[in-house]
Amino acid sequence: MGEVSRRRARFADGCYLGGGAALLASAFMHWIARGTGSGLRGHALVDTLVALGKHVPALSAARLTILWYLVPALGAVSWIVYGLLGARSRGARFVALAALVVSVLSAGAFRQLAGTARLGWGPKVALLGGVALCAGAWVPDAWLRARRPAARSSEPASA
Amino acid sequence: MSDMREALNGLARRRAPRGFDNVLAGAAASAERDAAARDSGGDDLDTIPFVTSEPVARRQSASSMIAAAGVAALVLVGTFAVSAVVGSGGAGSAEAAVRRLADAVSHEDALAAADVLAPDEVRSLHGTLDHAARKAAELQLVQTASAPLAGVDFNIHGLNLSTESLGNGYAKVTVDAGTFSAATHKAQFSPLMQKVLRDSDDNSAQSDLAELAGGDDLPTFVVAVRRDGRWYVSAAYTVLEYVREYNRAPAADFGSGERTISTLGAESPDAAVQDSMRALQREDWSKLISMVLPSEIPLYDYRDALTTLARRSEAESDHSTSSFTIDSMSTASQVNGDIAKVALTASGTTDSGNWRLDGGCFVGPSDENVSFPCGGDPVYFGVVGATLTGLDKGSQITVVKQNGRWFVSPVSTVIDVLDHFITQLDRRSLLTLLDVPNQIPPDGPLTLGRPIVLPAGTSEGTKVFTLQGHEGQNLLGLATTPSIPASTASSYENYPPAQARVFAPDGSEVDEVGMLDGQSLTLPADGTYIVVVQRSYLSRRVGDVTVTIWDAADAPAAAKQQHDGGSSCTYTLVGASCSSTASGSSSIDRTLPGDNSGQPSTNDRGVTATSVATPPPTFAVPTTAPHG
Repeated sequence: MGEVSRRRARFADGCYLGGGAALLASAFMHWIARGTGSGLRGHALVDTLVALGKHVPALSAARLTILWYLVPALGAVSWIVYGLLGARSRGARFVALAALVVSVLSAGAFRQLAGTARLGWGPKVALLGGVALCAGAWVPDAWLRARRPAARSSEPASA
Repeated sequence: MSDMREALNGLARRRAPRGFDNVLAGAAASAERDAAARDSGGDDLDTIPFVTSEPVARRQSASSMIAAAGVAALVLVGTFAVSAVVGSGGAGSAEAAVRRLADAVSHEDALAAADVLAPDEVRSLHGTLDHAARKAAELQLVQTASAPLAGVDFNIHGLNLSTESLGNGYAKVTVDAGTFSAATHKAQFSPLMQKVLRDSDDNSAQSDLAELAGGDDLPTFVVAVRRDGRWYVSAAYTVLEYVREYNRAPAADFGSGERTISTLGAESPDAAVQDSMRALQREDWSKLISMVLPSEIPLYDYRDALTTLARRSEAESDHSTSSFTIDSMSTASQVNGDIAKVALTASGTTDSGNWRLDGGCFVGPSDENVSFPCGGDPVYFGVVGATLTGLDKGSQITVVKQNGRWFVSPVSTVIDVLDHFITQLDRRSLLTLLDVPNQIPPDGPLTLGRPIVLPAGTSEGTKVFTLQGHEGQNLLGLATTPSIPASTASSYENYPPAQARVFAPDGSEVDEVGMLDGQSLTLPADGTYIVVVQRSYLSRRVGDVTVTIWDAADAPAAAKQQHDGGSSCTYTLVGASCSSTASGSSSIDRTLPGDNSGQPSTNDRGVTATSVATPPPTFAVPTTAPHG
């Protein structure tokens, strides 16, 4: 295995693990930066925002609550999948895609409920986590099979 | 396999050891050589590794650890979700509860703050805050219900806490260091609030939290309580502990109220209310304390301290007894599970006179300016009352059942009143309370010379009109009321019962000179003015107030009288009766149709108010000397 490939493979793995960690950490961050609901999480947060009269089309409070809990849950699942199957397995790629969809939907829903200006770090970190997971899982083989540095091509065959 | 065979044969030819690792290393080198050959043929890519140089056991161990961490994280998320559904309030420790409260304050999140307060104390406060936020948004007081404090920036930082146990499940958390800062950003307020605060700028302030009570030689602390395994900040315990420490009263018997709850309270909701009233009459503070729900306001835990303070107070007042009596009392209760609503009707006397209570309608003795008369303007402490107090004849006392006994719930009772106030509040009342009545949509154009009726006790006590004014135009008005019963008259009866405010076309208020107090107002320019006529809240008048505004040249003589406090003019529905307390003379200046009382009355200032049933409006020049 070439050093460059190894380094890139480690980077991709790091992306995957870091993405999972970000998704997990987002649950402990403020999803609303200021005002009502900023100190709340999970169903209490969703209930509070919905009670204030805002709605997201096709996303009831219950669905949005499930979506919110799926974000950290998928982060945890991504670690399990990584440990069992590896970062670029089919399962890992499925989890990464699901995490990206869930984080985009959650962030979009909270943007609709509270407005962009009031979004806290939670949805931003979740989005970042979803993107990082996908980057780690869907990294192209061509990039991993890095071009050999010119110096190495002149190494003696018996080395 | 051929590569492998070649590698093995090659090693054999070189007489190299044929161990497993050497074989693998040889195969890997062979594979790299093959790849290099392919690269030189145009495909200059590195191979996808199929053998790692890391020890296999170590890699598997790391993977297993990550998978295990994932399982642990999943369990954590699940626990978090379940605990959130079961109950998200409180914190894991007393100190954490205080930090969570500070975090809620720093984020201006009233609901999160309510979540960390002792649940029995705040009861339905969460719902009330929610209701208030939505109402504020509906009335455009705030930009959005979800950020009612937008434009206000609170921040608590550098918090350093220490905890001292007060008993099992009770802890005193002292703030050793910390800074509270607050700032306002006017530009972020709603347009309405920006108009209300038109004369103020952005402000900021900062204070040392550890020194908040330093003036009284007390540390800054809060008391936290444990309920169902979670810690909450207790506002009631905190206040009572401060009172106790400030007065150096005996220590509290923490938790005694809840331990002995079956011996406290009353057998029925009606008995709880009636026993409380009788205890109040007897000044039996121990009994009164036992009637209050211990989990809501822990007066029972502090009974020694409170009775000590009561004894000290009696000793300082030379053991004089109050003449507060209850002559009649009746209650009617509606029970719904463990909560009852009790309507109380009672009357009695004090040193100063009679008092009467009917639901939320309270009329106090005439010389005590505390009344909430239904249908009239409330007056508190002789100053300004709002048109809405949330109290009315339907107001009830909330009584709660715990451990088979009934207790009065002051918090629920107050929250009910607050909810009622929020429900009743409309935009007209709000703009009046905020002192921007010119923002109320006009009721129509002002017709000079036509009377305007301002009903009592409702938001209709303020009316707004447009007026096409001309530069130099002089306006003069007069406000009249029905007769004032002597029992309800106060020291403010000599002031006009209404006021008129005029706002220029540019929105600025034309200096008020007392247009309803005999002094004409000159309009500064041509244009559309906003004229606001409001009941004055400086009197305890019950009934409608009628205001008429004229061109000064057309105004009757009564309108040209000034009535500043020391004079003696009284306004009736049929006329303004002006007299001097020295001379006692009077005259009827103006009559309006519709009154049939005809009963003269005299208030405690010696001012006579007479109602005369004389339908046709007439105006007469007063016979007495000018007032004021």
